[in-house]
Amino acid sequence: MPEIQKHEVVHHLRQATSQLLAELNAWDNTKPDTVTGDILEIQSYLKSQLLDSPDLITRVLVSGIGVQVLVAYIDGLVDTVMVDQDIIAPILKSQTLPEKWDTETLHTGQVTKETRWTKIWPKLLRGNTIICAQEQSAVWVVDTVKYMQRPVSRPETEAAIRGPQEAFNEIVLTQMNQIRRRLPDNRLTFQKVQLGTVDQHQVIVVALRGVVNPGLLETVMYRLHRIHMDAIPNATQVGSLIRDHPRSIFPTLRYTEHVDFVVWGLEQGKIAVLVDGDPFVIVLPATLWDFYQTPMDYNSPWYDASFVRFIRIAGFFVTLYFPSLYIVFTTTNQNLVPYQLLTTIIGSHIGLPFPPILEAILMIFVIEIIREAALRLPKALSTVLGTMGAIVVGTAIVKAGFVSSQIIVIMTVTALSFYSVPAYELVGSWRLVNFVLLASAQFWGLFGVLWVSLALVVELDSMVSFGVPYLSPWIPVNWRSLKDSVVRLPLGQWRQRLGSIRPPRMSWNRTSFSKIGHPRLRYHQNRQR
Amino acid sequence: MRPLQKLFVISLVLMLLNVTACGTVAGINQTGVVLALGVDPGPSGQLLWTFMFPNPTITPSSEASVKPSEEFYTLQSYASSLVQAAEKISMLTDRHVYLGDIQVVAVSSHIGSRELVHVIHLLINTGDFPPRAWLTIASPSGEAVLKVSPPEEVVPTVFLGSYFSCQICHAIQLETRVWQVWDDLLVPSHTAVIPLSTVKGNKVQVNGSIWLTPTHIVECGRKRTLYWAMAMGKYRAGTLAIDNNRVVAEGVRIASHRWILVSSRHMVSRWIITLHGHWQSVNTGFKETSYDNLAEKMVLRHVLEIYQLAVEQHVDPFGVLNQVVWTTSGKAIMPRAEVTVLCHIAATARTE
Amino acid sequence: MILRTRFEPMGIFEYSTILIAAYVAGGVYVWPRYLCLMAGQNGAVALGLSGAWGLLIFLGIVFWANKTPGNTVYQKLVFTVGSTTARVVITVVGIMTMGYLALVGALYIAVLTTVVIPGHRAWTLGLVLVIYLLWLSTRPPISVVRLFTLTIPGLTVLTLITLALGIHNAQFPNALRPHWPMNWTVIGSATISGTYFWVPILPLATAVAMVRRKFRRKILRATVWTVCIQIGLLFMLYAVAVVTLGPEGVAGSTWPIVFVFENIDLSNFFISEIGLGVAIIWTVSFIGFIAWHIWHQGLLLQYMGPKCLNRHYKLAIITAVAIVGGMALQASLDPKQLETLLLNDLAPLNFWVTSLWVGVVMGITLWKQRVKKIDR
Repeated sequence: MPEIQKHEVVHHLRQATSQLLAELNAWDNTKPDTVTGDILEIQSYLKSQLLDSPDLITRVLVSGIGVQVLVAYIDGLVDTVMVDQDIIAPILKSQTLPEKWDTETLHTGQVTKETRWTKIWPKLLRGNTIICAQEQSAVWVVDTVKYMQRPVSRPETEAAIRGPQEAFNEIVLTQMNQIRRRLPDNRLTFQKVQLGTVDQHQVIVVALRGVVNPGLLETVMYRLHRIHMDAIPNATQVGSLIRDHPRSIFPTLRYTEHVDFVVWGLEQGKIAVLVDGDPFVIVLPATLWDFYQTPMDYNSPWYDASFVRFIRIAGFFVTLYFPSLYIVFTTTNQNLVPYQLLTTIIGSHIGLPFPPILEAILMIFVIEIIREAALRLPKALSTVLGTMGAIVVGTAIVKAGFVSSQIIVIMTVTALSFYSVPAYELVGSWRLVNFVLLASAQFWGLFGVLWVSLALVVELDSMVSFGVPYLSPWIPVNWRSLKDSVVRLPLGQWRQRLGSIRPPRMSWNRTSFSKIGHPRLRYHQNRQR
Repeated sequence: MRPLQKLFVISLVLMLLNVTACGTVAGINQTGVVLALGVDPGPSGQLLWTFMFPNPTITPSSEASVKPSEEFYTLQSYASSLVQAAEKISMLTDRHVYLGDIQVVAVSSHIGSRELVHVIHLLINTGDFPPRAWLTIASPSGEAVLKVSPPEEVVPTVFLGSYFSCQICHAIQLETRVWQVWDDLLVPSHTAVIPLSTVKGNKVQVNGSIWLTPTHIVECGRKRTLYWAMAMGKYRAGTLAIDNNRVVAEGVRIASHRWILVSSRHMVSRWIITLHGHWQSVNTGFKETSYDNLAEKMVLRHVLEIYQLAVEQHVDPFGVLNQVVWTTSGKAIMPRAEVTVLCHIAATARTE
Repeated sequence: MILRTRFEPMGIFEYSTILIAAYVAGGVYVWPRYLCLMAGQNGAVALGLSGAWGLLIFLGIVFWANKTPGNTVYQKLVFTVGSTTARVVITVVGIMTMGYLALVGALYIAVLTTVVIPGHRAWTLGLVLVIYLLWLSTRPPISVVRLFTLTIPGLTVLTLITLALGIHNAQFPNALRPHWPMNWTVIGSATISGTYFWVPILPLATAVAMVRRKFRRKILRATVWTVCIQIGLLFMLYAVAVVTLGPEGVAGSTWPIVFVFENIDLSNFFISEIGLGVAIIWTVSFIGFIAWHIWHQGLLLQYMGPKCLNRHYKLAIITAVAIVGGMALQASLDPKQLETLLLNDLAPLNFWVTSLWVGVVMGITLWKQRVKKIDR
């Protein structure tokens, strides 16, 4: 056999063997997990595990005192300048024994000693550098992680006109930093939970000790620790595993990318759950009313915030009841419509092929198609499509004699009201309820709408989010929390925290206001006198 | 879900679908909305019912172009009850006759008191009929009154419906609803006052009234109706002319306060009628006080005259008998009336 | 500590809304006709006397329930009068309550099919009602209580608004005055028939036990306030009916309150039928109220019922109520006959039975207290 062919066969065999070995390793968790002192064996082990992946960099050096050292890291995930200047250069010059490198040689901030591969692998693959010295049964793991992250940008899903414009990004460390910067209190705790046996996701539970109810924190930790899954890709999945009523169509967790909103929640005694890789942070507990609150509510004057909240509530009723009441008025309970309007409705329905219910369903489909298309298209095109859809299709469909002009008005207003809900996750829920109401209106008229509404209230009031009734603060009524309901009282008048989440520390505002309400002004006036 | 549960849910949904309201309600395209109802006497104890419908092809954009004569159409049928009449009309058209939006009922002036009371009971006891519809006596007939549509009225507004709804448009408040008439016949007074609408040319005028009791009807012309309105405080923002129309008060509002005084010997119906408004300054040497006296005397005369008429005719359009029965233990007889008229008509604000 | 969803005790507000719901559900729109028919112009006096009896009975039950240990009315009764008497009381009052629910249900359906949805088949509405109750019985009772906290304030406001609008039609303010000389026999009968609102009284004692401990002191005061609000609202409804139609008109109309509300003209607003608000108010409170009672009757049946029923107590109660209601409807859809059964037969029976057992348990509780004091 010629030499070249022999080489190729050997190479193929070696590759096949390494693949087989890697496969066996992946299957078998019972193999010895400890680090051996042979750096060449370690080097070959690392390479074989990652199947000679090109981003694995291994280098064998000789230290200042002549000890052979293996340095390994993942290219691209590490800060190479740090590796060169703070690890390789000092080791080459080092005159100390490898055991003391963490205190005398390495220039980096965080250095840990690990002896087990199960601990070393995730760290290496996250961007740490490992240093193995010959004849040593432990390796140094040096934090050289370079975070590839997008800059902190403005929130895109919850735009605010006033107030902080800082959104989270995908890196959990940055998220923690953002929260820490706004809440520099030693009672702010970050508890780490590792989820996913394959993807090793970091989930951080954030709470303000002393304010958060210990029972609530314990429940969250219990539910997180209970999860045993191979992979959990994002916050929504984590949320779906820890929420109450996972089968319900109503969300019981709020997701937000607003840093200030999360911090506000923590200050009120809520808990935030950060999931690495997801810029949306889970805030819990979340009642129905929480989904109608926006960060802007706390960045605008109380009267303005209250008015906007009132409009949102009105939008909620329009969303739910406008189309179904149209069906009621035109199909079963015509006696409810003033005769002037009834005559006009009858007039505009002459010659139309569809009954009102089919008109409504047709319009729902038209609107949903336009919405879905606008979502998928680039922004510039979607605006054009939205306008075109609204005007051209809207008017053309009336002229074509498919539907009446009233249903166009009703469905357009309904579609707009859908999106007056600040939290997107609730839009889908109301859309489903809307369909049920439409059906009940068609079958049983106003009483159908009434029955479904009652059932909805009973269903919602039997739900909880981490022990907090879902319709709180209204059902059961919590007088202390009503200050932040439809009317948001001025913050100066908040003497206590919101009571629904039962924080152990209720006291919030201890400012001693004078009778005229200006403590400092009054103080200076008194001094002048 | 267990199979039994599944079966239960499926049967539940099927049952509920069976229980729909669809069976009892017609679709909007098959509904004929009745806006006004005319009732005239018919042969052999039957009544002639006139149903007035709006033209169904009217839309907001076409309203302006439709001629007044094409705005409404009427259909008639002979029947002894409203339900039967509606059934006959339903058979004539391809629509379900919907009575729930009736604005006004015009009953012919040729119908006698017993028959009129019967008509009112028929209306009240018809499930779909709205008892809050206005009631008027129509001369010469209910049909004639419905067919006259003044040009200022635009469909779907019915002239008489708008007329009675507007409480600041006319000086005399004559409007009454079907339920009020039904109720007036039940309470101790047993007298209902119903406005009279008369067709003159292509106009309808509401300038008289009738007093209806279960046994007889008293017709009141324009003047008596005015006096009754003064006595009852149903005269608002009108004019008052005295001294042979030489002096006129404008914006006259008459308030009436009536109660029963009982002493050991006799019972008196005590009325205080107060006049408010402004004198128009018509000539120099204007003496407000003397005109006030003239106005008081005139109103007093009219009120006593109308009270006297009521006593003579054995009717009580003032509700005096209600007060007698409810506030005292006395018998239901018309007591003597003591009327005081106070005039608070001020001088006009603009000129001396 | 791990948070778990469980049955929560009530606050004072929830407790009060349960009490208020009782009268709205109890065919409040039915009764003034009978009152005026019997007592004429002196209906207001009879109403006041019925209210006073209601207040006394409520106070008696709350006093007794507060002083007696036990989580349910059954346990409290057993503690006070022993197991056999407790079973007798609960059976008698329970049967009366079920009869009451069935009759009010039949009246409710009669109103809907006569005035609100004329021509609609009565059995279909009954069927929907039963199915709805079956579903509601699968929910925890606190859901129904919470439903009241949302709906009752809203419905009370809606009732007050409707009443305020109804004042526009007031014609006879004199008709409200008491009429002398009074015929006390007639007023007495009217008073007794007016007490029918308080037939379903058993759950009150259980509700008292469900109130959080820290609010226990306030229960008595809350009861007085709530019953006063109840009577105040009843009086307002009665007053509006009488000043609009006169006592003769009220006695002459089948559904006086519905009639008065139906005649409110709101042509200047969008809504053309405020009268339908009546049906909505009644539907909401009636469904909630009946669900609450079915839960409570089911609870009592757990103590006393046959073992073979196992866990289907609520189903049994719903079936029983549906059967009695169906029989009432089958026998007659005439509201006047149903009203007679409710006000003329059931109300007097309830008046004497409730006065007796509440009086006895009150007496025993007071006696026990006295004995305790003497012992000290």
